[in-house]
Amino acid sequence: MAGLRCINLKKCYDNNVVAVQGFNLDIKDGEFIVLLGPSGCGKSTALRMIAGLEKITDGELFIGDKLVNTLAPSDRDIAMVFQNYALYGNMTVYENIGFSLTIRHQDTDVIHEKTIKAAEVVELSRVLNNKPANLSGGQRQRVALGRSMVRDAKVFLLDEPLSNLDAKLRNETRRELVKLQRRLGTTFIYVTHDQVEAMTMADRMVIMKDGIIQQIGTPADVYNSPCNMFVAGFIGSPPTNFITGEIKNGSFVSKDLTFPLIEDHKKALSSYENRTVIVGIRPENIRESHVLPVKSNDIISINVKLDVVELLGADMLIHFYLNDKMLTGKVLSSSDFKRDQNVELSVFLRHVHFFDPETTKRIDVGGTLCND
Amino acid sequence: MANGEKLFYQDNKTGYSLVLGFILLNIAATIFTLKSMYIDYNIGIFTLYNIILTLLSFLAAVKLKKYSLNWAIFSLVIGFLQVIRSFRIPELKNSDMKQLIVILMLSSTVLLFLGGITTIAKVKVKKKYLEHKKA
Repeated sequence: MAGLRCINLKKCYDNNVVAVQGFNLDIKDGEFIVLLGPSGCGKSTALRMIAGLEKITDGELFIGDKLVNTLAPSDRDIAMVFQNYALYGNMTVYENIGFSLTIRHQDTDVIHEKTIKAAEVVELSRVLNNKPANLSGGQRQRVALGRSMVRDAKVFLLDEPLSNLDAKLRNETRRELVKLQRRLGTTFIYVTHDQVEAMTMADRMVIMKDGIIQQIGTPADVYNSPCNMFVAGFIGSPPTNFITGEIKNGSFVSKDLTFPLIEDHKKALSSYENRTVIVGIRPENIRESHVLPVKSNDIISINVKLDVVELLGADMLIHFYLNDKMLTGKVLSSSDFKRDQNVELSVFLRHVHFFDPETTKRIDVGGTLCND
Repeated sequence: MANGEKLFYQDNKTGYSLVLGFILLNIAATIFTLKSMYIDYNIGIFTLYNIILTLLSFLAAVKLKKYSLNWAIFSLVIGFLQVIRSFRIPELKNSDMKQLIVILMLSSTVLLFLGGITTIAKVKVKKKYLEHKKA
């Protein structure tokens, strides 16, 4: 087991396309790190650089205390699990798991011992003589994991390993992966574009866009204190509502929405008086008024006509226009709202975020810009 | 039972390799024999016999890999035939080659016997493990 340190990693392809730049990340031993971002943001490239499958253009990569920039993938003591599992169809589960040891000409007793142990951990002991074609997607995924485990790798790299699974199996395997990581106590670096996976599995998550890290933090940090508009919009489903307006006399004023600032926001936005800011309101902070226990200064009411209503089961998404701006709110399905209905909604001001329109960074409590 | 469990999952590579060794040595013996044989109808019978022997022994090698008891016994039968053959080598133009051919044939027989015997022993261990597992 080992930690991992990326110092200013950069990947520039031959056609001068920069896939990753300024990639600085310090991963502690035994940490579960998730790289999250939209397609093409460079998260898989970053992972492949760590694996040694992509040459690092610039920067330094340490696994433990060892500089591994020029080391071959096989010498880096890492194990990688791919999205398509990459299992050998002609081999049994047992042979697939033990394959990395077989090609290293290890003693058959050692191969057997390690394979059986790995199979027990990934709960595949009963299907060891089966071929991959006779396994479910989740079982195949676990074979791929088991194959990585027998090598006693220092770091596990997982590149969207659950993407091929159906929703139910993905949920189960997600939990299994987290339990497995805790049991092994090994460093996991996991790439995904699914924010639910990232939020539920990560000790810390790394949000990327256009090859640049946008924010590193715990899921709660990233959700509650997004560093910039991209993170605020990317994390959370449905995405955050953004409204552009001005700060005037202690109030946020826009043609769509106007509300007085609460004390904390007044302090933070003191230097933005008469300047444009963007407010970000998460849909879950726009709720139906009648369920609120008490009226408070932190809450404002708005009267809107619902445009679209989407029932999700326990919750309901409501889409409505405030002048020309379409906003989304999340209410309880018991509210029984209907399309074209006029309703009173409440906005929780304590949870709104303000962003600088030039830099798109969040304006912190002290009035400074978030620099994560 | 740990050994039996191992055999349950792993192929019998020892038996497989030993029979492959037999095939190689037998081919070498065949080549040297053909090189020194007088050209008559015996050369056809000899060649045909060796082609069939090679095919059967390869089949035996593959079956031994999967712990087949019947094929292990069959490989012992082939071994006995090979011993008999090594004392009934056809008349050769170059009698100096005879000793080399006999050595090659007997060596190949040893490999075949070893392959058959180890496989029979492994099949027993594996069978015991499976019975124990069933119980």
